Amino acid sequence: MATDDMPTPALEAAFELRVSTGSLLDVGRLATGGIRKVRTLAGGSFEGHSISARVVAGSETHLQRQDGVTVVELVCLLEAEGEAPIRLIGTGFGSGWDDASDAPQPAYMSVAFEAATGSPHEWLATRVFVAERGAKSDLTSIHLVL
Amino acid sequence: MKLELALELRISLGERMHIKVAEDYTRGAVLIEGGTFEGAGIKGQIISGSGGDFPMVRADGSGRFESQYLLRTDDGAVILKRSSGVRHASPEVVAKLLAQEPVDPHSYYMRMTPRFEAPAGKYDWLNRTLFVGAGRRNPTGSVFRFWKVV
Repeated sequence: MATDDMPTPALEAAFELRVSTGSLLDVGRLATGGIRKVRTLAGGSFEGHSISARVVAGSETHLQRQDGVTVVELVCLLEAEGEAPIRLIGTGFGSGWDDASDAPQPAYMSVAFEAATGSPHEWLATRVFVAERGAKSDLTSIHLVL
Repeated sequence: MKLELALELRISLGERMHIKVAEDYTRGAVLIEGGTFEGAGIKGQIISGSGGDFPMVRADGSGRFESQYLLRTDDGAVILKRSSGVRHASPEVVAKLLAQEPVDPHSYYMRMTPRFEAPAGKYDWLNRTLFVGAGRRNPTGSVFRFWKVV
């Protein structure tokens, strides 16, 4: 299929998010299907593209579906020195937490940001991002979709 | 991470409506008349009247959009497609888009992250795959291409 009639997206490394998590909260098997588990975020860092911020709040939730896929939702509030907070919302697919080691498993997510109008980081809300986390890693690499 | 081209959708658009929710917030509604889609191992029609595209347009013309409609493969599987994304362009380009004039698709940023719900079986890879997409808006329709994030 010819693809030069419209833009072809590319990925550009943009940010590195590292989070430390709190204890596991097991909501259990849901009446609407799947098993829900939640971890609050205890802290972390967000670095890249003219920003250095810390993770001040957030959680990562998993819905383990019957088809074996785990739906991942990661929400963090980021705060850089002297600037308005930025909200990061990641949603995607993974394999849940490793039962033996309690470590995070690989995940792919799409990422959206909410940033205040007039903030130097306002542009974040006007672009689409995707993210990847490796096995047993606290690092999520976030790429800008060009 | 890299991108692999997976799917192209060609959509014809029907009635357009606008809901002026607030001074700086208008919800558009563009109904899907029909269309086709095709990719490696998958091909079919977009089910007429099964949904639409619902952009949230800011006063400067930028905004987010959401869409939802159904696909039917040539072998009869019905698949729900949902997507959210952003469009960002200069005010001049936005004015042309809103007036449904032809616009160079390279002159604006329109990217989305579609999701699918497919029945268990040969198409269930759609249910566990992250996609990114790009769009081109024509006066009477849209073309979308979706890439797998692998």
